[in-house]
Amino acid sequence: MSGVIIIGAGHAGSRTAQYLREYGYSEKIMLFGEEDVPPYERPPLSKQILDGSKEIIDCYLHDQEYYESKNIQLYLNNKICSVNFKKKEVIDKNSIKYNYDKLVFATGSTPNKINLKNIDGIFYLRTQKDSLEIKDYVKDKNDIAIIGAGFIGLEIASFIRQKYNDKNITIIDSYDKILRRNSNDLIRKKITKLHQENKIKFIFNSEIISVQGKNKIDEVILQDNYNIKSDMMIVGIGVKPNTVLLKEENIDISNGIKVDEYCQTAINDAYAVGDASCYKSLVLKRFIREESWNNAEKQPRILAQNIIGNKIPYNEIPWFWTDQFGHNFQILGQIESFDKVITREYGDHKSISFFLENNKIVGACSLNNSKDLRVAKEIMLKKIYIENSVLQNINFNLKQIIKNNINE
Amino acid sequence: MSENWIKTLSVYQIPDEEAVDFDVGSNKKIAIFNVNNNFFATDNLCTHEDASLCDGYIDGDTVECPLHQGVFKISTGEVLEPPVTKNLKTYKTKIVDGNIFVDLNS
Repeated sequence: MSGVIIIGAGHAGSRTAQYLREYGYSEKIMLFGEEDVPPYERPPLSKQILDGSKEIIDCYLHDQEYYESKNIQLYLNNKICSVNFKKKEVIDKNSIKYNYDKLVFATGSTPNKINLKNIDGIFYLRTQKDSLEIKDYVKDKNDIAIIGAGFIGLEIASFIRQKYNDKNITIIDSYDKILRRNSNDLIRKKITKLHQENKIKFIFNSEIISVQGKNKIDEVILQDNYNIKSDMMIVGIGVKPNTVLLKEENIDISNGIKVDEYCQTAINDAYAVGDASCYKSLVLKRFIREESWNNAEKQPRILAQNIIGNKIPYNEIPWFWTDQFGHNFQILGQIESFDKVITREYGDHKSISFFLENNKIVGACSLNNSKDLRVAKEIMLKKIYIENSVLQNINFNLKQIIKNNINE
Repeated sequence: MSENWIKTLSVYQIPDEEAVDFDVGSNKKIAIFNVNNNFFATDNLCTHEDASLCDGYIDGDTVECPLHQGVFKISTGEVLEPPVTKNLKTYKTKIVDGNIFVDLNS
C-alpha cells in the first residue's frame, strides 16, 4: 500500500492526517507543506499575533513530535510540483516521486495581488511569516493604508489600533461600504461605527492606481488623483484557491476544487478539503467555498471517514467569527439573501439577528452572543419552526423552546 | 493539600442547564453549572483557548465551548469532542443551606 498523500500542511491538511490516524488508518501518511513550520491555525495571524498577545508557537496544531509519534511523515519546506493521476504519483520540488492510494488537496488559498511597482512597505497576509513581518514593520510607521475593507483588513486595523493609539490608519475599498461579501447592512453598520469610534478612517468607492516612493512606499495614489501619505500598506482583497495542480484535468476548478458532500473530486481517489475545496453544501443546497477556521477544522473529519471507507456526508452549516475592537461577531449560514430579519437586542453590545426566508431561519449573526448563535444552529439543523414574536422577545429562552420542541 | 471550601452562589442564582461564573481572586474565575439541579464547578476558561464556558452551549451533562465548539463532560471535565485535547479541571462542590460551596484545592 502506498498510503495517503496530503498536499498542503495547513490546518485542513494537518487535521486530515490526525483524523485518519484517530479513525484507525494504519498505512503511510505523507503531509507536504511549503512553509518551514509545523501546521498552525491562521485566525490569530490577523489578531493576537499583531498585538503581541500570542506567539506563533501558540498557534501550532501539534508540535513536531506529535507527527513522529503518529507516524505521519511531515515534509516541510517542500512543494508538490505535479501530479500524475494515472500513475497515482506526485513529484516534489526535488523531482522525487511518491506514490499514493488516495490523494488529498489541502492546498489552501493565496491572497489576490495588486500589480504595483516592487518597493518595500507593501504587505499581504496569509502565512505566519507575513504576520510577523507586518508586526515588526508597523512598529515605527505612522501612516498605514489598508487596501480592502473585508474581515482581514478590518481585523488588522483593529489589532494595530489596540496596540498603537497614535498611528493614522486608513482603510480603502472600491465598494461603497465595508464587507462586500458574506455580510449585510446590520453588521456593516455596527462594525463601521466601532472603527470610526477608534479613529480608523475609511475611503470608499476608490481604487488604488499606484504607489509612490523610491525604495519604500511613501504615498498611495488613488483614482481621481487623490493621494494619501503612507509609509506602510497592507492589502487584503480576497484570496484565490490554489488549484494549479489540477489545471490540466478535465474538472471544475472555477471556484476551488469541486467536491461532493463526501469531499471526493471527479477524479478517482482524489479529494479536496479546506479553503481550496468547493463543496456541495447539504444545508444551503448549492456548492460553496469557505475560507473559515470552522471548515478547516470540521471538513477533515468527514474526509478522513470517507477515506477509510465510511461514507458519511458533510453536513455543517457555514460559520465563522471575527474580533473587532474587543467585540466578537459570529456569522452562521446564509445572510446574503433573505426576506426578513428579526433581531433580539439585549442592550450593552449584545444581540443576535436571525435571517429568514419564507419564515425559515437561513442564517444568523451575533454580537458578543455566541450562546444564542449556537441555539440558532440547532434550530437550523433540526428545522424547528419558531414564531417571529418569540424569536424577537428576549423574555423567551430560546434554548428551552427548542428543548421542549425536541422532546415533544 | 488541605481542603479550601469557599462559599460561591446560591442555588437559586443558576437556572437549570445554565452556568454562572464566580470570581475566586487572583484574576481567576470558575464556572458553576446546574445540571438538572446538581451543581458542578470547573475552571471557567476552555483548555483550548481563552473563552468562558459560561457562554457555552449546555446540553445535559455537556458544555460546548462558544469559540471553537470543543465539548467537555461537565461532571468530570473529560474531553468529548475536539478541537480540545486537554481535560477541564473540576472542583468538588457541596450545598449548605442553599449555598454552593466549592473546594478550590480539590
